[in-house]
Amino acid sequence: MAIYVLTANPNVIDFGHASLRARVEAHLGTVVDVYRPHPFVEHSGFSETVREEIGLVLTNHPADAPPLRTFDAFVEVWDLSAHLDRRVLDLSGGWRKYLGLALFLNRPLRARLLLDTTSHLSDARMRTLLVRAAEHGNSVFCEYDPQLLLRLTPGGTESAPAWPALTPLSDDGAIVSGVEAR
Amino acid sequence: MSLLHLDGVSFRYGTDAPVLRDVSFELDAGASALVIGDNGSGKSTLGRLIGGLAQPSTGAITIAGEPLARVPTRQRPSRTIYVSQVSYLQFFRATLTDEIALAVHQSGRPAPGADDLAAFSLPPLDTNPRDLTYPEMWRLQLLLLGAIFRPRVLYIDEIVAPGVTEQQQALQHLLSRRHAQQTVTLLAYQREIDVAFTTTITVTGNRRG
Repeated sequence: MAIYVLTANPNVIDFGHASLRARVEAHLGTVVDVYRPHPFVEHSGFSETVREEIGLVLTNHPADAPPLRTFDAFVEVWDLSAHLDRRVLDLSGGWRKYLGLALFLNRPLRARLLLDTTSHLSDARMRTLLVRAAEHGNSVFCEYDPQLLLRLTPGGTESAPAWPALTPLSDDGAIVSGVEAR
Repeated sequence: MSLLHLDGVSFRYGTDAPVLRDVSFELDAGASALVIGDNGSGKSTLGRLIGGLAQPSTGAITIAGEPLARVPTRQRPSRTIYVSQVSYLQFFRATLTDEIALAVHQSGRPAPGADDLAAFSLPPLDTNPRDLTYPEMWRLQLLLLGAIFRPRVLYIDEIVAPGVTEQQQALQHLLSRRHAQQTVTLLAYQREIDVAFTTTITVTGNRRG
């Protein structure tokens, strides 16, 4: 499963994501689902604790698109066990965003476009994100600062698994295309 | 005398274990500090305490020798301001010109000069603030709360896109101005950035999540 890092005019993250999505879909040749952050409100509002939020989302997946991991496995691989009984609204901003991303990446999508995932996340959270993104479908990350992802080096051990080489893409406002390796 | 002094500051949410435990440090006038910590380490909590938005469970914070807890709320912005990660939600005027005018009125400080405006790389001043990108909103907050309000202590909770030239330029300009004004500036982030600070503070508080 490929991971792409898309360099684009940063304005598209805030204002042009619908057209960017179409260009990414044209490049990948498949439908793309979009993750768009809503900092610090990444919460359904229908649950109190992290445990309830995860349970709510996992039990409400469509029947034809079951979650990639069920509750216990999800909690384990996303390193969330220590936070299950905390109120979602009491999580730090970074952890709340990470929880929202984890739930998004637990959906069985063929391709996803992730906008501004790196703001507020530490390197440790971003490494987990890349490892999990590599497990299913293709992921396209579009960041204000792509270097925050590109500078990370994969682990390659059991405790710090690797992710595939990140493939650079470029968007010129009309078409998304690959970037030739120098 | 130090300008900002934290003495044995601890903080806990409700009955949870303390997020911050026995934090002590001093910063002199003109200092700038990069506050580094992982997600959930207590960076934002530290900022709320220094910004006077929460009271330490134990310990004390003083600014220029004055206990922060005794500063009346209406006088607090001249002493200390916490720039939260969602402070852009406070934009409510129709244009950048209006937001700047409001900050000038509220702070009683002079309007920013052309060099200030240029350093923050903002779009045309008749733009609606809600039409700014996230990095542009961050720069506008720096202009309003840092450059115009000019509190003695400023705590900026994270930088958006730190590798982007306009972001670095705005921050560098603000740090330079505030150094000359003999104020203290703290920026919390998860990692080092390519902007020079006079000191680094590492936060390793209880992993609150």
